[in-house]
Amino acid sequence: MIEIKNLYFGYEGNTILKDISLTIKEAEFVAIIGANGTGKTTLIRHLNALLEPTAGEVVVDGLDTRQHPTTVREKVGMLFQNPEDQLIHSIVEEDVAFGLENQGVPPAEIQGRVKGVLERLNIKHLAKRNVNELSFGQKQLTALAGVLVMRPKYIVFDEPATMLDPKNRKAIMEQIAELNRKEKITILLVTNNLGDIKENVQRVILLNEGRIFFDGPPKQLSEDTLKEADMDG
Amino acid sequence: MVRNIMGQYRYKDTPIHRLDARIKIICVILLSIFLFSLETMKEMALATGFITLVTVLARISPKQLLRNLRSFVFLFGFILLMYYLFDRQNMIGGYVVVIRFLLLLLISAVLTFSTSASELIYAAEKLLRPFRILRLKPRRIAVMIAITIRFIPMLFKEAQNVRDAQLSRGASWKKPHHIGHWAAALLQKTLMQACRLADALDARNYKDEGHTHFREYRIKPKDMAAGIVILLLTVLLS
Repeated sequence: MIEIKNLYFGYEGNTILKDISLTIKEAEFVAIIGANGTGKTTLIRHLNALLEPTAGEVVVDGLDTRQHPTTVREKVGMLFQNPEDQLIHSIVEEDVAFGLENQGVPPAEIQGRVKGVLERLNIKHLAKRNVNELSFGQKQLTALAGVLVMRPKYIVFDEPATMLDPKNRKAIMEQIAELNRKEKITILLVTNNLGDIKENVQRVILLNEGRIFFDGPPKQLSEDTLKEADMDG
Repeated sequence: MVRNIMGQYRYKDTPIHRLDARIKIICVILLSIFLFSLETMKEMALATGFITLVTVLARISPKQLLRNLRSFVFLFGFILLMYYLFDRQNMIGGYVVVIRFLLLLLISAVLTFSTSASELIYAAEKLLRPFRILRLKPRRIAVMIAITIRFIPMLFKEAQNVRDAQLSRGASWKKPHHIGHWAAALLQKTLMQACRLADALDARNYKDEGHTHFREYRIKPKDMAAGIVILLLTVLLS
């Protein structure tokens, strides 16, 4: 379970997040939506211990992100908006293995897990390819493989489909839904596309000006609420 | 230049390709020392014969090698010109210097043509381990090399994108202040990319110690034998 208690975050005199309190249960599929600049990405970066709260706390399975960042990152995987920012090594299989190397997993196990995750995402044929030669969709799947191989309990997706064409967008959204449905991985999906929350998503959190404006099932989210939060476009 | 060096590895089933990358790096260092100890044309001819044999064994295409050496023609010409202008009586010395550089380039080319980037990174990390006593972090250096190899093509692409964006809005590549804007924009983008990359390293739990490797390479007797041959050659002929 992820618990966010009275979270405030700001820098250079600007308060980005204001008094955010949330509980994310295991196996939930939660979408975080909001207009640009409302603090969505700032919020999810706290879950992976990339940011520390200015006030309040973020607790993942009983571990404070400030005190246990390494363990928290083993539990919470994160897929960045642009896979270019996430891929470290030039060769696909080596990049997928990077997180496991950091965890000190023995080489034979790393090789088995890397092979398994590439097969599962149907990108085994890309294993020896240079990431600079891949399409954007293939890069996104490689980045996802790098997260999945670490077997996280929670995965945070920061607008994973924004830069994808409709076909690849559908493919990645199906993969995300399947992770939640079949493997019961808790998903936190940041998106600006209201189409993404129509299927599979169980709960929507709407942010406006750094505060929670709405928190509930997607069908309770009215047009008026969206309009009030500048999400009516 | 760097992009070409890193991208030229192609796997071939040759004894040189099969050699452990650590041994290859040590051999390149030893051969470089050996080359700097040579002074006469006779010694140079012997070294040239040996390095040519290694190049042939590695099955490196002469066309690719020449393409690599092309960028250095100006340097060689400059060295010979200096000898001609200031030390005409010792032109042989000029030729020795040029041949020495050529052979150095050849052995480095053999290394980069026959060793993949991941093998090089692994070897660099292992070879730097003794320097931990000086608080050097071998893993950090290895990851820095990996990131450099990964991001150099992206940097070229980004430089082209910024240039295109400027040209599309009427900038001229002939005006120094437009080049200045291009450099500033590229620097800004590169620094932002570096920040995002640092986050990615954190998110994937990067650490300097206590890690493992996707592949472990073992030094075999034939690798040791190759290293000993080069070592003996260096000691005996120096």
